[in-house]
Amino acid sequence: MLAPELASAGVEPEHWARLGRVLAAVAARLGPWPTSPEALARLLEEAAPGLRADMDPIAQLLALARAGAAAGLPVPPALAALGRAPFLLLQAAFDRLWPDGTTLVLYAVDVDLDAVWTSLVLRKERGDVALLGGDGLLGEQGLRAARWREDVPRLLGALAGRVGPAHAALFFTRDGLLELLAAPRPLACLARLRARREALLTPWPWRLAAPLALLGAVLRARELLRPHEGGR
Amino acid sequence: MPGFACALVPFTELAAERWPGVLDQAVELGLPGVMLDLVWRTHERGVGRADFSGARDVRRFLGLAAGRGLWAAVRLGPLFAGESGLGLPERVLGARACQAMGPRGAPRFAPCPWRLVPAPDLGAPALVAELEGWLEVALGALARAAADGHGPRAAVLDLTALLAYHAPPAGALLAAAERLSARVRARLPGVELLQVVGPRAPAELALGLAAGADGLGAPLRAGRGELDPVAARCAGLRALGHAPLGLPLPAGVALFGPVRALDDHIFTSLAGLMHGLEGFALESLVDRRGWTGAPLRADGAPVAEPADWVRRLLRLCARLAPWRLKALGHGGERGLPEVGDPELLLAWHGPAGPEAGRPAEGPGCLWLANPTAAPRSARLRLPAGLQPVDVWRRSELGARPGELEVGPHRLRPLEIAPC
Repeated sequence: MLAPELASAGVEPEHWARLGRVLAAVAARLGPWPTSPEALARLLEEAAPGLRADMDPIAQLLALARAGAAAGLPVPPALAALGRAPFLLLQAAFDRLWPDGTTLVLYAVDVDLDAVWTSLVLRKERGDVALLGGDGLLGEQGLRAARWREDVPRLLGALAGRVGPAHAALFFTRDGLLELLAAPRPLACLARLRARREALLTPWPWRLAAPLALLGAVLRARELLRPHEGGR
Repeated sequence: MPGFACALVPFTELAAERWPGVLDQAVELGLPGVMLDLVWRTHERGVGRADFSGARDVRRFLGLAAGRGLWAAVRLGPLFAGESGLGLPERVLGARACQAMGPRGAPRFAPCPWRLVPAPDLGAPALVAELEGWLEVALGALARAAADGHGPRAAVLDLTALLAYHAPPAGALLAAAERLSARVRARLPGVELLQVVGPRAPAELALGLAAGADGLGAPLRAGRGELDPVAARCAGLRALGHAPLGLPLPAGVALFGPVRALDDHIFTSLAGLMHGLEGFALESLVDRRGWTGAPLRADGAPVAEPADWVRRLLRLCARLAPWRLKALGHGGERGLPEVGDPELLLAWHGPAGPEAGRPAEGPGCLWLANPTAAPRSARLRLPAGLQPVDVWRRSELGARPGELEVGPHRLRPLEIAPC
């Protein structure tokens, strides 16, 4: 799923710093993580018997989560659950969801400054994420933030020519993205953002949309069926 | 100018025809030296055989640097935490005799970009023997450059990079350091030997490394909120009788690892200087794979903001001593800061003026860095003849006319000018 020799290009440092905060917010929603080097060292020790150097890096991550959960260490439960599935099955699902030779794209635009706030372009090759990039990959052809909604088709065309066609692309305003990250019900929030034209998902293939919608429905159902805190 | 200021040029990742342009830019930025890495994994072409041709031709690179008046420091590892496979060839990574073993008999693992690999055991005789073999080859290439008159000024060893994941007994690590150092001393006589002392090095190990080294480096890969370790590292090295070097001091952002921004680097560098840092090695001068935000793009073109920061950092070091100011603290007047004073740094960079003196005219910028975590502010008095230009900032920072106050964990730029 992830090439150990992951290439990188066109990543703007400020975009990366902001993306780091976005990813940290997403990771925090998944559950607890070991944060200190000591906690990571303990997790590595627990997982060592199940690790191999030639494993896919994502398989290594899932093995860590599985071993950490078994040892009662703080790891996101969803990762630990995924870690119990055969990796070949996960790889097959990954390949169905995201075809080789295409890209996944994320942009957030600061509408106050008419500037790209953060950006991420990932390209998949031979089953692995092989390139990590940003708006800088496109040089002068990068997103024109002042009229970003109208510019998206041109940007996707440039991306297809230089990096690879977009399989899925998400464009947000900065405030919209931050609102989504903080929302208790992300899919409902995403629908609101789309209605307010603060989020644009194009292309957005059903193979990604359907599982996400299903996941959202399951999470919502669990939330509704969960006994209220303090009740009974 | 500090005695030791340089920046890493990842020469093997650049096409050889780009080297002259990049080195010209290093000169233009005001750097007196460059640093380069000799990474075993990059050069090995089989046991005992190495490739030093084309873009791996370290001898030619050193010659080009010397031709521009740049001295060179060479990092020899042996481990490089930011390199694929920690810089070791796969055959060595995969050798059980070279791996650190955990309590359950399975190898310990350590992170490197973008995977986990078995942690090498620097206390293992098999690994030390392998490392000696590689060093003999690498030092041979450097010795040939030295014979041309282009040898490095310094060689850097770092045996403490992986202590968070595997800590061999200090005695074993010191024995390994001694053997590797002896190789360096024998093949490169007269070259300064620097040891990096990571934040997890116990006192016994740090003392031992200091005893065999000409200088010690504190890796300053810290962000704004992590200044206590910076202070502790620098203080620890000073206690060993060495003026600490920021080795490395970040320039740009490693994509694998904690996310940092230019502001973090500025703050870390100023905090390091405040704690007595007397030199630094910026990593990296040039963007490379897994790296962004360096002062130069991979094609050698300068990037305005980080390149400007390098120029200012160099100027700042040159002018730091004459611009130590006086402060008011705890009700009494006292000198601030002495080298190593953990309280506050004042650093000036402004328009060019008489060398090491006050700028002739025009506003400059006073950087105030207060890395204390304690919930108190540091207060200082501006020297006679200087006043803040920016009235808003003056009211924000000033306790009384002519005084400034900076809270803990803060970095403030302030335009000031002669009255």
